[in-house]
Amino acid sequence: MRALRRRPPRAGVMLVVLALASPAAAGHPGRDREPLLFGITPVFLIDQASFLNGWGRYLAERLDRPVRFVRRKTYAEMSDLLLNGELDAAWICSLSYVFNRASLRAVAIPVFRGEPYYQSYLIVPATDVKTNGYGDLVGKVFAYVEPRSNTGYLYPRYAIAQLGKDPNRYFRATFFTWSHPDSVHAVAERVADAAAVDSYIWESLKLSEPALTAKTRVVDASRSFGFPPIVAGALLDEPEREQLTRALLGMSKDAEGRRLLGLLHLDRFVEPRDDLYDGIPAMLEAVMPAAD
Amino acid sequence: MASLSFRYRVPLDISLVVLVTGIGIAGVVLWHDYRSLRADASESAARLGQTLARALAPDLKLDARWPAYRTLSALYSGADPSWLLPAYVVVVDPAGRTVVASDPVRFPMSLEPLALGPERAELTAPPPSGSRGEVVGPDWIYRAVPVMAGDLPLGTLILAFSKRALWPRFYDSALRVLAATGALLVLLLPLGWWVGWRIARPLRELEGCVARLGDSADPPLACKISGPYDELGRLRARVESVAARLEERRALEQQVIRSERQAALGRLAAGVAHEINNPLGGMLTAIAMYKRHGRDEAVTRQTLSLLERGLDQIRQIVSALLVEVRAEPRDLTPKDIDDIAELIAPQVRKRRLSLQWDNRLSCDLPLPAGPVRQVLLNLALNAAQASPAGGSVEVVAESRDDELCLRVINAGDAIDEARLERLFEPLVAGGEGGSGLGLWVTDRTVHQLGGAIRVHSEPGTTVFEVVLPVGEPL
Repeated sequence: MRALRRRPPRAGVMLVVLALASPAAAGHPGRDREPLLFGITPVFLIDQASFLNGWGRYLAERLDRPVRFVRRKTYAEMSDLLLNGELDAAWICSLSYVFNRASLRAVAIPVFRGEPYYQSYLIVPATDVKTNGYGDLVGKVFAYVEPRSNTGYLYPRYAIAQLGKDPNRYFRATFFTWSHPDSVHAVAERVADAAAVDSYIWESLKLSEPALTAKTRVVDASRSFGFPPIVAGALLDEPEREQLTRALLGMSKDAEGRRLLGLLHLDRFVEPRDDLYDGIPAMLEAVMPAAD
Repeated sequence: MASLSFRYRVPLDISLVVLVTGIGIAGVVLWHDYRSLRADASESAARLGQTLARALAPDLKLDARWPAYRTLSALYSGADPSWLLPAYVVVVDPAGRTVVASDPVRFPMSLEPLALGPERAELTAPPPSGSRGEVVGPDWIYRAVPVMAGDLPLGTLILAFSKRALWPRFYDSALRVLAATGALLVLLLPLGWWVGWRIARPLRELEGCVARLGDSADPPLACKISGPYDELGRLRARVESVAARLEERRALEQQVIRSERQAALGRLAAGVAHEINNPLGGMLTAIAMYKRHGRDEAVTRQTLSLLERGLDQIRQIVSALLVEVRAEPRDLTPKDIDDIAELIAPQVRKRRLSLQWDNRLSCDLPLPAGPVRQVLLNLALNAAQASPAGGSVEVVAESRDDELCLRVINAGDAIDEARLERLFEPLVAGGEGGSGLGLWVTDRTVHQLGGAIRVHSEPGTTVFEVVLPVGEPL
C-alpha cells in the first residue's frame, strides 16, 4: 500500500513539469485530445459547479486531456453507459458496482473518516421520538433512494427481511427519491416517516446544512460496507485507467487536491480493493434472489 | 335643523351630499374590489389547477411521488408565498386515497380515502364536463382538477383555498380606497362648504334686505345686491321694486299725515275763531258801555276787568294754538295735555258736553310733544264729535312705569263690529264730514312712536286707549 501510494506524486510532478515546458498546453491541457467523460449522479453531493469546475481542471491537468462531467439520473442508466463505453469513468454505488463487477473495473475508492467504508443510516423525523429501528416502521411511509442503491434500498429491505418480514408488504407506501439528500429532505419535511441514507451523505450534510439534518434523527446504523468506488468504463484502456488512478490517489498529496477533497469531506482516494464489497452479494441473495 | 340658518344649512347639506357620495363611491369601489379579488382568485386557482395537473401528470403516471411532491412544495418555497396560492394541495388517486400533498403531515400518503368533510365525495368524483370543479364550503373553497394521462385518469388534484386568505389582501385595498376617499373628502368638504356659503350668501343678503322693508330709518333701497339675473336675481329685483313702492307709499303717508294735520288745524281754527269772537263781542259791548256811561270809577274798573278777562281768554287760546302749530321737537309737558283741553273747549261748549279732564302727569316725559298732542287732540275731537249733545267725555292721561297711557272715553253709540275691525284703515272711520283719515293718521303716529292703540266699544261707552313707551329724554 505504501509503495502504491508513493507513485502518484511522481506522476503529478512529471505532469506539472510537462505543463510548464509547454506553455500552450498549460492553459488548456491536452485540448486537442478527446475529453474524458466522467459520469455523476445526483445521488452524491458533488453536483456543484464550483467543485466540478475545480475537480475537472485538476484532473485534466493530470490526465492531459479535458474532463467533461455527464449527469444521469439513475445508477442503472449510468451502469449501462459505462458498459457501452459511452462514459470513460463514473462514481457509482457499491451495489451497481457489484452488479457489474465482471465488466467494470474500479479505479479508486474514497476514504471517509479514515476508512474506505460507509454505512446505511435509518433516519426518522426529529419529532418522532418513538422509533428505534426497522421493527417500529410497520405500516409507515418509507422513502427509498433508488433501486440500485446499497444503503438506500438494498440494506433496508435486507434489514426487514432479517426481521422475518416481507419488505414488499411491510410499509404502507414507499417511493424513490433518486438521491440521498432528497431522502433526507423527504424525512425532514415528513413526506416519509423514515428513510435509509448513505452515512457519508448524512454526515456531510450535517456539516454543510445542519438545519436540514437537525430535522432528522438517526435511529439505526448498518454495519460497514465498501465505499462507492470510482469505476472505469468498459472501453477505457489499461494505461488510461492507471493514469486516472494516479491522478485520484495523488489528490491528497497537493494543496489543490486536498482542498477539493475537503469540499467532499473525504480524506483521500486509495487503490481499489474488491474484498470491500464481498458482503453485498449475500444481502442480494436474501432480498433479491432473481437479481444475481 | 328646520330653524337653522341657510348660511349653515346649505353648506351642511352640500357637505352631507359630498360625504354620502364619497362613502357611496367608496362602498361601490370596495364591493367591486372584493368581487374582482374573488374573480382573480378563482381565475388564478383554475389556471394553477390546470398547470399543476399538467405538470404532475408525467410523475403521477410513473407513480413518482417524490418529484410530484417537489413540484407541489416548490409552490411554497418563496419567502412570501403569493396570497393566491391554495392553503394546501392534495392529489388523490381515482379511489380517493392520498398520493401526494403539499402538506404531508396533514395529508400523509394513505390507503384509505381522504377525509375532507362533506365536500369530499363531490371533489373526488370526476367533475361533470363543463363544471368549474369548484365547491364552496363555509370557510374553504375547494377546486378539483382531474389529472389525466391521455384518457387515463390518474387522480384528482384538490386545491383548498381558505376564504380568510382573501381578507388581508382585501383589507390592504380597502385601506387604500378609504385613504383615498378620506383625502378626497378632506379636499371636497371645505370646497362644498365654500360653495354652500356662496349659494347662501345672496339669500342672506336678500333676507337682510327684506328684513329692512318698512324700516323707515334704513330703507332697503340702500341695499344693492349684485349678481346674475337668475331666480335670485329676479327675486332681488322684485324686492327692490317692492321696497321702492313701500318707500313711495311711506312718502305719501307722510304727506297725508301732514295734510291731515293741517286739516285738523283748519277745523280747530273755526272753533278758535268763535272762541275769540265771543270775548271780543263782550269786550266791544263793555267798551260801548264805557263810552256811553264812562267816567265813573266803578264802571271803568268793571270795563277794564271785563277787557282783561276777555283778552286773557284770547291769549290762552291763541297760545294753545301757537304751540299746536309750532313743530320743533321737544319733550312732553303736563301743560301740553292741558292745552288740548283748551283747544277742544269750543267743541265741548258748542255741544254742551260735560268734559272730565284728568291730567295726572306731574313732570315732563321724554316723548315728542307734537305727535302726542296730535294723537290726543284727534281722539278728543273724535270723542266730542261722537258724543251725543249733552253727553260726557272723559280724558285720562297718566304715566305708569315706562309708559304713557292716554284714555279717551265718550258716551256715544257703540261702534259696530264690522267697522271696529277696520277702524284704523283710511277712509273707514270718516263720518259727519270727517276726512276719514283721522284715526288712520292717529294709528300711524302711535306706531311710529312705538306704541299701541286699542279700542273697546259697548253701548254708551267707547274707550280709546293709547299706550306709548317712554324712551330717553330728548
